[in-house]
Amino acid sequence: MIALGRAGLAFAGRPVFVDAELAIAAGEVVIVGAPAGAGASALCAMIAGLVPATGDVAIAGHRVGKLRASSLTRLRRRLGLVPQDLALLPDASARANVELALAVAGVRAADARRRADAALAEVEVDGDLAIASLGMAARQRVAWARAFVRNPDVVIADQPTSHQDGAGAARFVELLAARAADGAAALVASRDATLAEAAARRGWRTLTIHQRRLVDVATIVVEDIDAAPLVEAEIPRPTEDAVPNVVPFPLARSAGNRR
Amino acid sequence: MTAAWGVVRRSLALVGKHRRASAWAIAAIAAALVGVAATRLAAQDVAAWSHGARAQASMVVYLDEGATPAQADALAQRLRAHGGVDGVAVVGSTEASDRLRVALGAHDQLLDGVEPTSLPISLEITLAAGTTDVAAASPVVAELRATAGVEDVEVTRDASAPLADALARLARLAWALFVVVGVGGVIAVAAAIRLHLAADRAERATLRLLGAGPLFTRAPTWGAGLWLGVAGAAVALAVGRGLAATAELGSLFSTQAWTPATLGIVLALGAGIGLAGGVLAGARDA
Repeated sequence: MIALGRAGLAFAGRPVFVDAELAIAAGEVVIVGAPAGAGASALCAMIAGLVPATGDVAIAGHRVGKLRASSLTRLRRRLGLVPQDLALLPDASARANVELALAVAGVRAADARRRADAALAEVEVDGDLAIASLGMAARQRVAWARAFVRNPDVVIADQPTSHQDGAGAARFVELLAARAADGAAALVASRDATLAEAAARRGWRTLTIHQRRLVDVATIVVEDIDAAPLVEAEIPRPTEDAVPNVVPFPLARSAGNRR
Repeated sequence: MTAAWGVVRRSLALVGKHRRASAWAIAAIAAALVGVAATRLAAQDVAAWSHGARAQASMVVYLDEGATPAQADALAQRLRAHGGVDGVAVVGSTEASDRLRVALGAHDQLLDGVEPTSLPISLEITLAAGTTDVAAASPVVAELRATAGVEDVEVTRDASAPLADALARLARLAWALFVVVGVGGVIAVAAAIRLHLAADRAERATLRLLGAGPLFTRAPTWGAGLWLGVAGAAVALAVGRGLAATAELGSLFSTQAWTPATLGIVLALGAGIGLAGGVLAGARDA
């Protein structure tokens, strides 16, 4: 459903990442637990076709870079996006924000209202409230509702639980798992411990961006730890006599965050 | 239908969201329309004066006493085909008699006993501006004089030509002003709409993120322009009505011209200006 082949991205001539290879099948969830500034947001934007990339980026068989503007627009209607800045309309109600995603897809107003209310009930937000009157956690949940209400084929979420407590993040995991069970492919950029733990528990793949490359955390060998900006001083160094050949990278960082 | 209603709803919401900016846009449209109307009416008046000044016959062909109306019509037909001829009017015996009687005024008893049908038929020819002076030397005039049934051809000196030319230039200037005021109105509206839509750039970015096409994104802007244009036209009509009631301006904004068709044209013009402004604003900000 999502496929990257030797994909790369650069801003102002500085490469963010290079030669990214990735395939996410329908029903699969992949968590990218890269450290801040490593380029996870750029990866999300690149897959959504919001920034130009080198190499191949394909969604549902369509090569994003080769699509005409109108085709890319239609393709975006099959995506459920949760941008880091949420991109909500602050003056509109929560319901209007969710309805907008359906209106764009041509859903009739009555159906849109019913589906928006159901989606907002799932995230426990009152649809009548204006976005400006909501706290950040509630706003983020409205963004989830907007992303999921169209039953997207592909979910791309950038730090979707950054304003949530443990319960809120767990709720997101439940909703994400439900969409994956419906066949959606999902890429989630997150440094949240709850998501990392859920990934481990549910068998979701966890990637990171290491030395400008998108890699599975399981492949990062111990020798690379010194070079990885994510590693913090508190992480115990492996000893000579008990050398694990992999380090659960995001989990280590998450543990650090919770302290 | 649902999509159209959605556009109507969103465009009205856009207008209502920025009331102060909308009020300015409406005022700009109303001012543009009042300016356009005043300029157009002035242009019409100038054109009418210009036409009136040039409408005097610059050549008269007097036919023989025995010439028939059919002969006069045939000759008139021939003359109309000539270049430089603006118009040919046949003045029959009865009309000639009536004119003579009016011209004699209190002395019209001099015509007593004169049979109106005995007066010769004449053709009054209006030549195009600038051709009168050379017409006298034209072979057409010589040919006319030699035509059977033609008594005489009189070419009058075109004393009104300089005035007519000046008025014609004035009329063209007035129409140019009309275009300038109209275009200025469109630009003013576009600027006003664009200014008050600038705050919605984030909204359009969100819409594009959600997969909204250009029509979905821009149509409310066009609709907002349309509504503002119609509202501006309504204000302009109210202002015009007020001016018509003012003694000094009554003739310019005469209520006799306030037919349903005129009102429709003003509303359509306002809607057009607003729509053009909305399209311009949407295109520049897309």
